[in-house]
Amino acid sequence: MIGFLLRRALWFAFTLWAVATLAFFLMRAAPGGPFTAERSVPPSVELALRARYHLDWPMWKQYLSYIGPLELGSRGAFTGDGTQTFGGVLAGDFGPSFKYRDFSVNDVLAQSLPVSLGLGLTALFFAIVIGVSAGVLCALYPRGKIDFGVRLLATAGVAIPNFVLASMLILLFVFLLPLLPVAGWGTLQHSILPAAALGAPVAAYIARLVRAGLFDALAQDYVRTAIAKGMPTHIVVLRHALRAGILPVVSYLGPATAAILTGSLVIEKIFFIPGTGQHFVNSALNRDYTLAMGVTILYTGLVFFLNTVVDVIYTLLDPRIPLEEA
Amino acid sequence: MSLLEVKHLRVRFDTARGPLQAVDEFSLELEAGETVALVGESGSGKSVASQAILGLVQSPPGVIETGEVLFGGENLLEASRQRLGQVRGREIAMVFQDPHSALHPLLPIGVQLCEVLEVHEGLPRKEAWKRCVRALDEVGLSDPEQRMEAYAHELSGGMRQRVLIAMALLCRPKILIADEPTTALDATVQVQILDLLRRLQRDHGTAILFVSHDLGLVGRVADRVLVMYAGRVIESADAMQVFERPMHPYTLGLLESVPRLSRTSEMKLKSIPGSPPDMTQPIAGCAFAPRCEFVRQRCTLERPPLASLAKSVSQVLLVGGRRSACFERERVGRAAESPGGLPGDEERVP
Repeated sequence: MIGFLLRRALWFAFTLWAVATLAFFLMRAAPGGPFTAERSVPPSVELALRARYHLDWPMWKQYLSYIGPLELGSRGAFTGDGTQTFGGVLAGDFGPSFKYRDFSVNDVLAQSLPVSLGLGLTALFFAIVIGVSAGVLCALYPRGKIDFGVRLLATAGVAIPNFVLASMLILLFVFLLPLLPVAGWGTLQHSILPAAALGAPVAAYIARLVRAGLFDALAQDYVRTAIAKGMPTHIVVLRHALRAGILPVVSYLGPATAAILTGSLVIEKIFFIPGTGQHFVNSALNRDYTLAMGVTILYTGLVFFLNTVVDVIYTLLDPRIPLEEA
Repeated sequence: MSLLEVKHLRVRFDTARGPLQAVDEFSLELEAGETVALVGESGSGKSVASQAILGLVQSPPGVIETGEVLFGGENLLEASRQRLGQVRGREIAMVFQDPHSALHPLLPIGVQLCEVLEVHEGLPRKEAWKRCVRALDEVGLSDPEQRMEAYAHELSGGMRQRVLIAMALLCRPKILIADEPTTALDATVQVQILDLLRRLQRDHGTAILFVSHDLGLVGRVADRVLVMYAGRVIESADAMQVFERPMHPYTLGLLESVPRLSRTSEMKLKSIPGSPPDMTQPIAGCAFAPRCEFVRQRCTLERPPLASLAKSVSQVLLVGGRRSACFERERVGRAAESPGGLPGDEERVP
């Protein structure tokens, strides 16, 4: 286990470095810059701004100073307002935001990430609860009315993009039935619609996975053994069949997390939620180099971390698979 | 009254090619402490019949059309799901053919054992655990305490079957249905498992319904034998009688196809020509007729009933409850006795 985690940590570092490097050069390869605006700035002002953020340095020097706390001339390279020193990504400092001049990227992320995580976890939680229960019902009564209904909904859920679903939910629960607020963040009521829109495709996919997995497991010899032992139905289904039938869902949780993270930028925009997703889009459009980099690195880290957690859970559930090969 | 009585059981499977009569007119009596063997080739309906006793036939596609399964006078086919749950594992337990797939791969052995006692006897985990360790010890598993923590894939086939037997006998059931319990094991382990079953039966007085395709194996364990073909019982007799003087050509064929050590190289192993009938089609006459060397015209027109061999009341004492579903049974019996026909009771090649 420790060996596995150490190896994963090494891969983690390498992945983060690769993603950071790629993102750094891709951002700078994009036309325009952080200070290119519709309203043209006097050339002298733009030069001064670029000098202040060291955008006039050669690319390699900008890259090195962004990555690490190297002694590159004066300490405090890349500082925005001159009062803070920038420690570099290795020191956990993502630098000043080019767009929100009074904030560092760390400030922006610290404010928005809890919102996005809250939304994402709520969506994931509902997706798992609803998906698994629906899948179990389908597998227990295959080809019945519930099964037919759930499969129809699940197919729709996988096929309909979440922004379409979000609009439909708003129409239904805000305008036709005024039950929920249309947008904003802060209370439980505010989180219901966005979490539903964000989690629905995941719930649909989980329901399909559970249905197939459980259906398969129920036909296995070890389930017949459990029935022949006189185990009551709930033990046969929940302890014996579902334990095997749920494995595909566990492996799907990694991709599901990624889907929810990337899905949330659209949802956050629709429901005006001050989460990280909106920064992901806006920073790229604004050429806010440091913020875009920060969000990218953060998302990479999150997805990597959650995938590792999923792998560990999987091997805990299935003792036949050694962790080293996961 | 017998411990278990199955009467006129008919099981049908609704397949894509139409209804398939898997079991027809199946009757069985099992007394306390005895071993009855159910013999037949794949698809003869022996497994389906044994599983129907505990209501384990999957439905759909399986349909139990008629029949009674009387256990202590109670018809299990009409029992509620809850009542059936009480009987399963506690009064009548089952050991299945393939120990590789019959144990749950993701649950420790101990959990799978303990839950039987937890559900049936309401024991707390700690006490159940202790009894399960003893049960594993009883079936001859070394290091029973460590085995409780093991998973199925960490045990060999023979060890898994021992675990499954221990599991089946935890509540001291009155009947053990063993559906080909040794088929998936290699020959030396087969003998060990059979000895284990016999020892446990002696110690606890469990009645065993032993389902097997292997007539040679059955000779080691059974008191009585029921031979099945195409969903029907075609011969039933005491084990000794079947081996000495089979009275159905199918039984004779099965016996002749068991390899024996005394057979010289010139004596070729016999096999039964042809293959079993398509059971989705109605069968006129005897189902075995197309493969039978004793066949007469009558056999293809009229189905021979499973009739007692006793021609009069006085003969009942002589032949016992012996029955055969063959018009030519006397000829078959004489052929079986003729020299060079059937060898005696030497050890068969494992």
